[in-house]
Amino acid sequence: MKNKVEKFVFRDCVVLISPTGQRAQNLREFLNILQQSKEKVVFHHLYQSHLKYKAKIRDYPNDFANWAADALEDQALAEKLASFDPYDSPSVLDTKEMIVEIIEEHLWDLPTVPWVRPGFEFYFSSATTIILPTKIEAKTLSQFKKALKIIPDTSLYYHFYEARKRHKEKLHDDFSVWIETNFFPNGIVDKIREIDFYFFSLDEVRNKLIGILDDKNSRL
Amino acid sequence: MIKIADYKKIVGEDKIEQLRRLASLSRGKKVVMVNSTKDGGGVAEILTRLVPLMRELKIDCSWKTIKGDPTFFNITKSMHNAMQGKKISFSPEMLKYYREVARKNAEELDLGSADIVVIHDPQPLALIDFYKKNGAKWVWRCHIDTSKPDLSLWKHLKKYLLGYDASIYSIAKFSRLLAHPQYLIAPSIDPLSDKNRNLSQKEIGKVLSTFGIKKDKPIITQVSRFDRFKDPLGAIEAYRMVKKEMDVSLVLAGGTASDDPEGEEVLKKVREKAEGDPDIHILLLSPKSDIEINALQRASDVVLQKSIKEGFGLVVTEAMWKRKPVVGGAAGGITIQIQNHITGFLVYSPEGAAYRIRYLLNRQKIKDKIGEDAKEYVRENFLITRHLRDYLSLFCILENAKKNIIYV
Repeated sequence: MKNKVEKFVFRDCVVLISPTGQRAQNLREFLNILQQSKEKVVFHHLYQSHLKYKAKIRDYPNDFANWAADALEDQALAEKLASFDPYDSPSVLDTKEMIVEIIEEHLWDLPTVPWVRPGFEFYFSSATTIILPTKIEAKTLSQFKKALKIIPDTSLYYHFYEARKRHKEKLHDDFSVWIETNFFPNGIVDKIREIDFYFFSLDEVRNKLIGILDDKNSRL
Repeated sequence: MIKIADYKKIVGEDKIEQLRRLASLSRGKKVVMVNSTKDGGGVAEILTRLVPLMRELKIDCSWKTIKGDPTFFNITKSMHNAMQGKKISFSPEMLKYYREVARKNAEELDLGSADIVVIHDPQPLALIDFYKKNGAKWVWRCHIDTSKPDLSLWKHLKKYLLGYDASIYSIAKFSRLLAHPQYLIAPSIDPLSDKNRNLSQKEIGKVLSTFGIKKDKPIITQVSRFDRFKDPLGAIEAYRMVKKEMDVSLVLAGGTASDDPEGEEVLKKVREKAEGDPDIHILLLSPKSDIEINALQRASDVVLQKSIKEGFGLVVTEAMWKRKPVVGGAAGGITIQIQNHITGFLVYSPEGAAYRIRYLLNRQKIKDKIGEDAKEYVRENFLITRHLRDYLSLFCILENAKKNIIYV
């Protein structure tokens, strides 16, 4: 442990969704609207999906892939839209361009433009996020582990998912950054960063984190 | 009197703490909710619970209703239907009368000193024309399915809507292309209200006995106003198809609302269709029948909500909270509550409803699992604490317009 440990103050977030009023009834319309969509719209559908879905309710980790599967019933497109990690790129707009390319290529190979049944249109939205302090703090890894068990899902999302968009250069989560900064790295940091978080639900990520901190091989 | 802290055991302490922190951002703000009735219907039910909770959190929140005569409510009922897609022609006199009632109400309602005014549904929408905003934020809260409104009425009402700072919809599908920001706030149920709290078997038995309903065969129940969009006639058709294969009974329990003059006509048709069948129970309930509705839902084996148009469908939420598998029409907010095979079944016809009712009645384990998952889905998404959180967030966002991220 380093001489002076900075305490970890858990924050929480609340998200209120704003529909843009735009809707797509087929893949061509979807592509056109996506191309014109602002960063905050893409961010919401790609990154904040984790706040909406429990693992058992949806197959894929973002809104676009779920729409392709459920509404267009195009599993191949859904798989393509789910199989990249949007956190790999520091720029949401770069990720948007990549998605546009995936859809353009997919459309190119289709004989007709696929339409959805009425009621299954894609509704584009963005969201406003309010970041709030909580009373939960940790100064030791032991306190940190206890806190992980009680923080809300929204707090976990804020520190473990959305944080990566704040730490633009490193794309790291808040937890591993705090452990790395305040304690001698002993494998915990690497293990946390190895979590394939984009494909997990918040519950699964929480259990993985607690599992890593519980691991007897990790020295606390 | 129910307190915020009473919800801790249902949603967890962290959610309650979150509410207190959010509320502290709008402490002392004067918020006025305006709708058209304090009795009957989902809006009145939500406000009855939500307003006292906001007050406990030190938001100066009040609830006012507009007054109108039968002519006004006939016009607004037609507007309600037209906003949900029915082709209705509104004469200039009707639209003038609608505006005139708003003007008279504006003289009596004290909205000028509010910081935030939340107008619910089309009935009081025109009030905005008779106030100077003086920095106040006006928000239109739409509870109905406006995904394909009658175009001429929409164009007319949009003139009022343009004056608002924001509008709120229950699901994204109901939003439209508008100049001001739109937000999604799903409605909610109160798990501690008489309509949703736990009941003993004795309490449930007493209600069944009052209505002469025997528990000697599976009970299928639809609770909703006698409104053509709720399709009670389709519910009877579905029941008749099930009845050919299994001995079941059907309960159609309907309330009425003071702003719904069409109810009597629909009820008459339902009675005609059900005539001569002792296993169809048509119950006309008063707005104060919360425990009766609770007991009927809890006594049911399957809950049906055969709507063809729906705002959100809180009766579906209520049944899901009671671990009941719901067979619901794929309309409006029912589609975001029911995930096929997971939290219930979406259907598109009386035939589909009959098929899924039989599917569930013949598979007890699946029926129980769907009931469990439905309850958890409601706990996460559709309880009053989440609703309160969204309103408190909105109040904060209205003060911080154009920011995507607000650090507190």
